[in-house]
Amino acid sequence: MSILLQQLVNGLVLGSVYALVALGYTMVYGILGLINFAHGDVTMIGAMVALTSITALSGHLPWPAAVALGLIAAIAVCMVLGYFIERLAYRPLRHAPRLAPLITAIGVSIILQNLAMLIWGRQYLAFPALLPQTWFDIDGARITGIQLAILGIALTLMLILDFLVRHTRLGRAMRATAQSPQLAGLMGINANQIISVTFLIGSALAAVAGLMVSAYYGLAHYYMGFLLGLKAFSAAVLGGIGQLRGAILGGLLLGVIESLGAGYIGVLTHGLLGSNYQDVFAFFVLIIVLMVRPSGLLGKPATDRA
Amino acid sequence: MNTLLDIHQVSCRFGGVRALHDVSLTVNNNEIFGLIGPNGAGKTTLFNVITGLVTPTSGNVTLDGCSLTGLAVHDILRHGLARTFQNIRLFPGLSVLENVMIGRHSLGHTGIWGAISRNQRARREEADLRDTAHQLLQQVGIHHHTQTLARNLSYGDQRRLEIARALASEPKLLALDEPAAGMGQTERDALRELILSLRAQRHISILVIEHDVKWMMALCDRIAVLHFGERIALDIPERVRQHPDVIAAYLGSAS
Repeated sequence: MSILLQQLVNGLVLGSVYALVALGYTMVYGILGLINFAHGDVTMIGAMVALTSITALSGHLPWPAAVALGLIAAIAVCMVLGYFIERLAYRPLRHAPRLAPLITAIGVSIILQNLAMLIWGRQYLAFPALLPQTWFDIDGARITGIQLAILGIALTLMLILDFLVRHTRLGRAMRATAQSPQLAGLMGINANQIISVTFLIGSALAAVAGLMVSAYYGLAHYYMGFLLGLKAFSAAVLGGIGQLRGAILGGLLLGVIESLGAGYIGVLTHGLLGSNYQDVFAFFVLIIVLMVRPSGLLGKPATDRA
Repeated sequence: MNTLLDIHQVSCRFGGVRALHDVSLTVNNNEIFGLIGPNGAGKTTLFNVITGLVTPTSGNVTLDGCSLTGLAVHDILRHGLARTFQNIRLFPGLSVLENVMIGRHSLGHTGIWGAISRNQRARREEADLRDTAHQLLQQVGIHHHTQTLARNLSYGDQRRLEIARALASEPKLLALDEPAAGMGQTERDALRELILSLRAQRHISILVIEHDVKWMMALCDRIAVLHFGERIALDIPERVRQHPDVIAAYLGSAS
């Protein structure tokens, strides 16, 4: 029982980070129909900037102030980065065949990885040990303060975003642009502005996720964005790409599946496979779901996107 | 009578095709003005020139004294001209209410910070917008469907929704592109009543293109007839009906 509870908590924490990154993928896909493969690397840059600034500030400021400033720095850098990636790499290809921006996205991803390698080096960077080690024991499962903070902040941000998209003027304009950019233009909605805002929001969420993941694992590395991005993208597809709530559901589900898989795979296979197969588990579930529901859990059939 | 829309000597060529030749007409305040003509007469081209989708080769269009020629479509909307489309163009996945609210987007001011912070101004704007949208839906008679997705409305109601969305931008001139297309006789009569009541309630001018000549005769104050890109008649319906050129070009050959 305690293992189950423990793995569920771990999975939800991991899943909420996936969900934050997945939201960036799904929002951009919803409006542009583009899979922004550089998004995982924007998350990595967020992690690197946060870690570097927090390390630099940790001797001079109490830890909450250092973390807050590190977060702000990461958000600022990622937003600027996201904005210029869209302006320079994707906007010129707005009317090109769909494959062109996709390849460009992969190119941007490689550029960001190499840039990070040049700036921060090839080695793993350690997150400074300044966060207080608090935890709560519930029924034999241990929930740390960091885990609680990650869950709380991630869920709050998701609620805010969901509200923003569903119930505000900006969100309405975003959804209208996603359905028909031309018609939205005729209504006086500036599609370019909406697209920029979408990248800004997605990048800010990625920055938060980057800080979370590096604080959680205590590490950051220039290549970390690849697998994280791949999983978050899978989460978005799992939930139904283009659907905000789908990305949230997909992220949380993927996190839980992965952690339950890691926790039980040894028992289930009598020790043949270990927890290092957790990644396989997540993608295995993704394949099964897509075979049954190709448009994802909350996705609508392709014909609905007019 | 004061002029609202002034179309002055508009010509339009597409390569060697003369789609419009020296067409002039004016629409007055609070007038329902009809545009008819056989297929290929240039009605749609003229409509597209007025609404900014096509730039004329020569001539110009002014609305309430402001030149519309060369303006982008959404700027024309801001100047007070809203339109509906021959093939209905709604946001199918947004609710009926949201479709109308989007129609009023250009009148809003809330930016991203207002949307996130939910300050008092943003909240009030949103509440006003909602009220106005409800009123408009009431006016066009589909207020019992506010939360339905636009794609789930019946064909006739989708047409009404498009009209409500166009009205949401507070236009001085409402341009309807074949609003009765694909409707049965009962729906057509109801639509005509609606258009007449909108004019009475909102004191706006309405420009209509439609194939159904009888229906137009009963709706419009004045009618212009286009034939091969030229305006061959412009008068009140009774006189247009008896105009020899019109009978020859259009009514005669049609019946």
